[in-house]
Amino acid sequence: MNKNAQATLEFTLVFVITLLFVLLTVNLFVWFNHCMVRRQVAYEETRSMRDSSQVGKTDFFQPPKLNVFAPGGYSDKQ
Amino acid sequence: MWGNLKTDYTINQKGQAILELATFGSVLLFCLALLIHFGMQMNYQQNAQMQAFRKGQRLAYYKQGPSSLASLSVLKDKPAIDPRDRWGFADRVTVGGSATIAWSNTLNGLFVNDISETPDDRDMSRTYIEVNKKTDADRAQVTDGRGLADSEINDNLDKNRVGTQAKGVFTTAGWERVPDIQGYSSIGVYLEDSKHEYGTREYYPLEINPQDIKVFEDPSDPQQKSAAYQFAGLRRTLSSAVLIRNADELNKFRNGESRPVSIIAVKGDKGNECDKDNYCGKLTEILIIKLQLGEIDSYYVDVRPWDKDKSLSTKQGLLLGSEKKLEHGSGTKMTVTGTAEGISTKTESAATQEVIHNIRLNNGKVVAIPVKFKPVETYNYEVR
Repeated sequence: MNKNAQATLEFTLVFVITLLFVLLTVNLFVWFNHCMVRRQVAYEETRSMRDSSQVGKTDFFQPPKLNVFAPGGYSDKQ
Repeated sequence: MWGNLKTDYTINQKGQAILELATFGSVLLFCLALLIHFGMQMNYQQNAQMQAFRKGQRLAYYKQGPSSLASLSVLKDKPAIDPRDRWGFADRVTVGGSATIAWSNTLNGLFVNDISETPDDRDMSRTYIEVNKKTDADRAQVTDGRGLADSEINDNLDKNRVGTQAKGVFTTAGWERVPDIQGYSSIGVYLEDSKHEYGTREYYPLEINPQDIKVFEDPSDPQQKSAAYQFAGLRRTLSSAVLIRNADELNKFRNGESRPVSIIAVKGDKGNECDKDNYCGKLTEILIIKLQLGEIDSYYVDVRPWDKDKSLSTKQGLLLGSEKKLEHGSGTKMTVTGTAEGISTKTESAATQEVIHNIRLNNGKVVAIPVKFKPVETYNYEVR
């Protein structure tokens, strides 16, 4: 069995897996942040001082569907 | 005796990277699960707090009466990934929020003892915008003749601050006197249905003949007067009403499209000459709150970065971006003092920096709040 460049090959494989892992994790946390920021914005924009019909409105925000393979963690932009 | 060490060592190198990935991968997955747990909990917690406030707001709003108080706590047990859990079992994490809501038609109002007195700005609800905050103990209140306090002048907290004359206090509402209430064709009141605690708002409009609205004084404080009407066998205080003059306004009121005004003070046709039953006559004059007359709305918000592309003409509040000016003055000087013990230096700078923050009021006018700072650093070295 040819053992030349064995370490390089295995390193390449592991490096690609690690990068993919990191990218997916970053997408996941970008999604977390997006949810928290947009929820705060939606909360302030539905304040009843601006519009009395918004009193007690609890369904002011729907988080976008998580998709770790899409940039930003979600594919439908909100 | 020892064999071929090189060969033995080469055999043990097979699958080294994959083995390390398996070992450290599990550690990585554990850390990832912890971070996901943290992120999920933060999201759930933020949502729970917001839900608690909105539900409390609904509870307070749907109670009958001019003002009400409601407290609500919300607890939720949400499933969240936790690497410390057993396989196949999703443990739950408790998140919660609580809120106490006071709902009143007169929160934006002002307090007057007598309808005949002219309210000044010290009685008005106000918005304070603190720029470069200082402690209360150091604050020197300076009025500008209107009763509004200017920003602080003496500053012990920030020694380098020269001081500012900028006004950081703005009224959020004004008032208006409405005479001749008996000249209106009817007075409209929206009554909320107190049976509905959650769900859609149920209300019905009630039209009252101005002749039926009576003014009474408070026996314990004769200066305090309130207007009342009879409905369903109860005497109800008139705290907000729709003033109706003609058929168009009446239709609008009946369709629920009118906005009631908040009543602060009332006057009966007997004035202060009330009888022994505390009756002061029929309602003739009222003081109402006019939100449009305030300098800045009470829900002013910071102009956010993503608002840059939109027209800012309707935005009010603290504007993004501040201007900075630096004046060098007489410049920087260093004094060197030589003594028998050694040499010491003292560096002083006469430069001052001015930072200007801008606030837009609800009439579109921009108010600048400049703050001056003296130089911060003086370097003293001693060589002995």
